Amino acid sequence: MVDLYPEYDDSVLVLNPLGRIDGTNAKAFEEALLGRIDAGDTQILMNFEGINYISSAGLRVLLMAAKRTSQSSGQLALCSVQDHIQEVFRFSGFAEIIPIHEDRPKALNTF
Amino acid sequence: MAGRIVGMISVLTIAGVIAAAAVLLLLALDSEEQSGQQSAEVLAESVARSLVNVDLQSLAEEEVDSLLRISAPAGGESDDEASELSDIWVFNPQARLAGSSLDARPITRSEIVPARAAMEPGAGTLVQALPDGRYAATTAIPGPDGAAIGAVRVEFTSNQIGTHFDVYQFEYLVGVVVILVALVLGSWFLAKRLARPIGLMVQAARAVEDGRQPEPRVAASLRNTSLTRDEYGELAGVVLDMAREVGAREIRLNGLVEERTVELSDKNRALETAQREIRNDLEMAHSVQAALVPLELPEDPRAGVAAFMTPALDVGGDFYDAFLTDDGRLAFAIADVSGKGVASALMMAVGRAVLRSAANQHPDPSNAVASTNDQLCGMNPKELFITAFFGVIDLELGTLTYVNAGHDPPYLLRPNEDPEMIPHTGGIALGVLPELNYAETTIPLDPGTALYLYTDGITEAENATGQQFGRDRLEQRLREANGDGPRSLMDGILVDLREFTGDAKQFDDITCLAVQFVGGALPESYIPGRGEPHLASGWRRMVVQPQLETSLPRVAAFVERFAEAQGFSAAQIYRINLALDELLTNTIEHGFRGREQEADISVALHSEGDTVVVRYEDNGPEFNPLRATEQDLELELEERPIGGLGLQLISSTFDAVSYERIDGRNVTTLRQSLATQSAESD
Repeated sequence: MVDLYPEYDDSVLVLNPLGRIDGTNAKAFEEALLGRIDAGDTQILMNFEGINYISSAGLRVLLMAAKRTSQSSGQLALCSVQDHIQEVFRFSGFAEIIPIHEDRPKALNTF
Repeated sequence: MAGRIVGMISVLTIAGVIAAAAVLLLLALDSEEQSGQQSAEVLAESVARSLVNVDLQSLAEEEVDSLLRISAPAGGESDDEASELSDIWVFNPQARLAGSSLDARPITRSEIVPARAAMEPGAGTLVQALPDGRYAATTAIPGPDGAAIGAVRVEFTSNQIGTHFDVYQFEYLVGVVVILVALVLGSWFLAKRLARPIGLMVQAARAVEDGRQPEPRVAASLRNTSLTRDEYGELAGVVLDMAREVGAREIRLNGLVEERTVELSDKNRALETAQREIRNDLEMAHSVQAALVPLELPEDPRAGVAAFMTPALDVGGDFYDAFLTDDGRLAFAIADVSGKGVASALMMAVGRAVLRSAANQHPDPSNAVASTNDQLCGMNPKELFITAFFGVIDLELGTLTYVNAGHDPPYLLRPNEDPEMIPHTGGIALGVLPELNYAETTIPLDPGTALYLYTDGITEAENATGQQFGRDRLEQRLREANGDGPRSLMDGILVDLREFTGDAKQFDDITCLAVQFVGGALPESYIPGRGEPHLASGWRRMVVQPQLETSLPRVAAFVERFAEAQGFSAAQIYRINLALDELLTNTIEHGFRGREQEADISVALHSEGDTVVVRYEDNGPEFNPLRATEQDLELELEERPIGGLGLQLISSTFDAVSYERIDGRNVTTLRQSLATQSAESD
């Protein structure tokens, strides 16, 4: 199981995943994240401070979550992403679709 | 018993008979006396009668003498017998002697008194038994008026009367004997008759005691007896019942014994079978143990390996192993499982498999050994333990990293130096306690340095006199053999050992392993076998198992070790990892789905100047990642298709990506200039 360490800041659901998101746990990550959205949370900030690895399998889940929240007039944003991971978002074009903020306060201001 | 009863009855009968005979005899004697008296009376009265008309005053001796010829009337005896009348005395009424027969003795008072008494009216005849056995009878001589006119006394020898008595006596005796015999016979017959049923019962009881049934004749007789209503009948019935009961029990017991005998022989057979099976099992375990050590030792021009093991007769638990790790290092181990027998052999098989797998999973020997220990602790119901030495030689760098878990320290043979024991790392034997940390030590190896690993089966091997081979002999031999290749080093010691032990029985497994670091670079032309983790010098190569969950972390560790040695940044490491992750995920999930066992995947890393080269190979269906659907990164979020992204990422993060199909293998090569990356990530 993947623990997302959820917390609320006003109406925004802040998730704090740790470690790796790759082919071996992407499915569990997907179920946990999409489960939150299905339960009604559409304003979601992913705090990536503790993530040191993400593969395309993880990116795919983020993409699905971004689509769902967008459909529900909500949004999914990231903050505190480590440099080498931010690079992947840049290369993959994900940085264009999913807002990435420097830190958590700055991110929360945009909701 | 019956004999005793018959005897007792006979004795009693005989006693009775004797008593009866005694009574009869007394009676007979009594009548003898009576008949003696009667004879005396008759004689006396006959003499008296013949004197009735005689004048007693002028009685001449001759006259009296003639009277002596008067015989007793009883029996009509001959004259001879009458003459037995020996003396006669005649008395006048005044009881004075009137005359006597010739030679008659003078009278005394003892003759006069009876004469006077006899003459008393109604006195009758007086008879006396004389001390000399003769009889005397005195009677009155009756006158015409009936009054006594005198008396007469006769004496006669016992001879006459004795003869008379003998006749009586004989008749009595015959009678007595006849009665006696009749009585004895009668009582014997009676006793016999009484004892017969008892005898039968005794026979029956004896038969029962001997475990037989009474003879039919005996049984039939007893049945007859049992029909009578007396105590014998009852007893006979009881004996018959008992015989029947005992007979039935005997039959039951015999049946039981037979049954048990059959069971016992069945069990014996089963036991023999079991023993045979155990022996077979032991033999099998023996050959399994021998087969479980690697048949093929790793081949690499930069190192030499030789190994040997002879299991003891009763299956020990030694093992050795030597193999190239997935990332191309030479790993080797020697171990000794405590105890002997099948359990130890199984533990050895498990231990070797676990250690080999751990060695590939954990690049650091300390972690590999710790993981092995944890796994062994989890599957060690017999509480066996394994002493082990595990080492990894980095053939590129020329270093040995090792962990010693309670094993005899191996020897290090540096060129031209005395053999030295490899310092212990202080680890405890495996399988004792879980979650322990094991320390590892790394030492540099000069080319030509050899290692000699052994188990105590060598140092503790005994000769016929009970002497052990010992460390000194081993060290001496190692000193002499320093500089030999691993094979001749090992063989030399084994020859010495065999000479030492002679024909003495081998008690423990004998196991040894010799490794020599040759060093140098792999020639460019060196082509390893398929799946062998070799590449030309400067390459690091790893064979990847087609399971994502286990392989991804192992690939990541492999990349990290390579990258650290090269001083890569975290971002560079991440890029390589990401690329390999995407390639692997694609290959395993699409290329080999459902036929993982066919997969032959490898990753090789090389550093050329400031360029990192990643070479990824798989034998899956032809697939060019560069032709994968290119995603339009400019599409709006809602329009983007999900998935198919990873391969796109690779192209984005590497400077150059090329694909070739070589000998049925997909070969993808990625190149990245470190300078470019550094610039980008800054």
